[in-house]
Amino acid sequence: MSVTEEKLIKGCQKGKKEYQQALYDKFCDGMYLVALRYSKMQQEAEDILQESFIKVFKNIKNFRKDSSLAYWIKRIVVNTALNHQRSKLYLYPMVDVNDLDDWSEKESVISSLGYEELLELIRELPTGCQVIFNLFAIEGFKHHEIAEKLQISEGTSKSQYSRAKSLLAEKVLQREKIRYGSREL
Amino acid sequence: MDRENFEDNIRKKFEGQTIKAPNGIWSRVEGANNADLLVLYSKKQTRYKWLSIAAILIAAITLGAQYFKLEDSIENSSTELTSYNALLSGDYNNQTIFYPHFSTSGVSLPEFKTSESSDPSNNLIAEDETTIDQVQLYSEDIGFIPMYKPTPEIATVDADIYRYYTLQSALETKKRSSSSETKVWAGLEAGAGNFGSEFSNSGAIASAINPSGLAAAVGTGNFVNPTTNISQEMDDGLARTVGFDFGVQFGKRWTLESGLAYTSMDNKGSASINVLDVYTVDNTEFIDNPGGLDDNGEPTPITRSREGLIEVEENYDHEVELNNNVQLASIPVKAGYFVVNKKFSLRLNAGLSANYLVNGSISDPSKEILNSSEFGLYNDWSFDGIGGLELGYSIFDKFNFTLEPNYRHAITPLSNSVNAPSRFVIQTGLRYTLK
Repeated sequence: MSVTEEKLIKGCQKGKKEYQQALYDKFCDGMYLVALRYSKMQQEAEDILQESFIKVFKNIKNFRKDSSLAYWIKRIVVNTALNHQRSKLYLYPMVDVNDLDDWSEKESVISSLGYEELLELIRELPTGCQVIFNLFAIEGFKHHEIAEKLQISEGTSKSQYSRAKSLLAEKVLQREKIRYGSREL
Repeated sequence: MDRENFEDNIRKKFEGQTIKAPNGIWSRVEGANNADLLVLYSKKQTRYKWLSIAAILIAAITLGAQYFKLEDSIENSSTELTSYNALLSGDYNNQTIFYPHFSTSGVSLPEFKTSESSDPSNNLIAEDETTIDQVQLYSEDIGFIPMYKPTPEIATVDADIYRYYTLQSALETKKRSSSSETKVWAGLEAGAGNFGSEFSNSGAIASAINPSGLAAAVGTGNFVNPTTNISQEMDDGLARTVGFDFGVQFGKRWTLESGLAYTSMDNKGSASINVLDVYTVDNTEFIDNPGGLDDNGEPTPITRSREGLIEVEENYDHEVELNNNVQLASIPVKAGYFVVNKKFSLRLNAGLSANYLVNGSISDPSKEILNSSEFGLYNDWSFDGIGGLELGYSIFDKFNFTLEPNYRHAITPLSNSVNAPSRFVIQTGLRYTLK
């Protein structure tokens, strides 16, 4: 079924199943990637995706065109994921001993990864670091916005983000070591 | 790398990327949407469903009133009053009239085929097939020809000895055409029976509840990454019904019947829930590695290390009791055929029933897994086929006591997701013949 986004929205607002399925088919793969970024297990990502689309269809009558449909759905997926992770978030300020390190080297290491490998490593991060890395680096939230969203201090958000980057860089280097033996990189 | 550019770079990596979503999620979304819509629809329509039932009742009453009005007009227009002077044969003792042979008034008297009853208003059928419902002797002034008056002894000893008498009487006959032979009744019915559990037995709960939410409710509430399996086992249940009906009999055999019935169906069962919680934890605890001696015999220092992620797998089994209740308002329409239609009657019935869902709920008495009983598991409308054999016994002329074992098989499913129930119910009823 190939229809314009406007028709898709109107069809879903009228509760027509064929339009709902077309909307799901159009966005499910992209949103599944978002759900995976915030989860550790596949089942959890599936639950997030399911809940998100239920919310999409329930609330699509309230959708205003001041943002794109994709952005609106993504926001729902992110919020659903945050609700899922909230019980597991024990966020506290972290003093990273590497704070004074040269970030550019670590960032270069992380940036050298493809999205699939990066996704794998993000999912291995502790839940707090995983959530804040996703929100800041990928969703583009500011630290004060994250602080408000998660009811934490801005400093906690910043330190968790630094910790996430450090861990990611470490994980990349560990992988490289395994891949290339003990040869110095 | 510029710190500003790092985030942009990461963001761009994920822009426009997708990973194929597993199959089956859409069906879960669709199922949940349907359930939500049904609950919403059910709530919105609550006031309309009672209005609909009221409208149907009003329509039935209006049509019934029209019907009775029509019946009256047919009857009045065909009433005739005829006076006869007849010479009759009869039995002196019982004063039974057997054959009217001729009219003494010059008016042609119908030739009656039979008249063996002591009550001349019964069984008098004229040759032209006109049924005479009521024959009333206007005059008690029966003049016997004295010379032929039998003695009681003769009449008792030999029933074949009859005498002819002159009968000065006036007979009022009420004639109705065969089309007016319809009989109308109204009555009350109640019954009970059992129904199959299959419609409530195939994991309706599993499809209605978010697995993560259920897992949290079952255990400590601290599940990390639960996978939930629910199996549902329900027993056969009890169906109770009460209602009223009205029916019309066409001719001597055929009937058409309708009404309104309220049915409540209850059954119990259990849900077995298994939660498999698999997750990883960061091991933050350092492990001391005891020191030893190096090649030179010098003690080596104690080192500390830690493992990274540890995978944890936990299993939880839980069982809860379930109660299922479905309430229906039904409008049956049945056609019937009297195999026997006397004081005792035997009638075969068959028809359809339209059922409206008044309430449908699954709940657990412990409230461990279900806080709300509204899942929209059942369809608003469902249709049954009905077959039954009704035994009747006429009492006090106008009343009829009935007992009807009947079987109902669903034509459309009662539940959204699964099979339709079949019911075997024994109904009793009391009817009053209106016309």
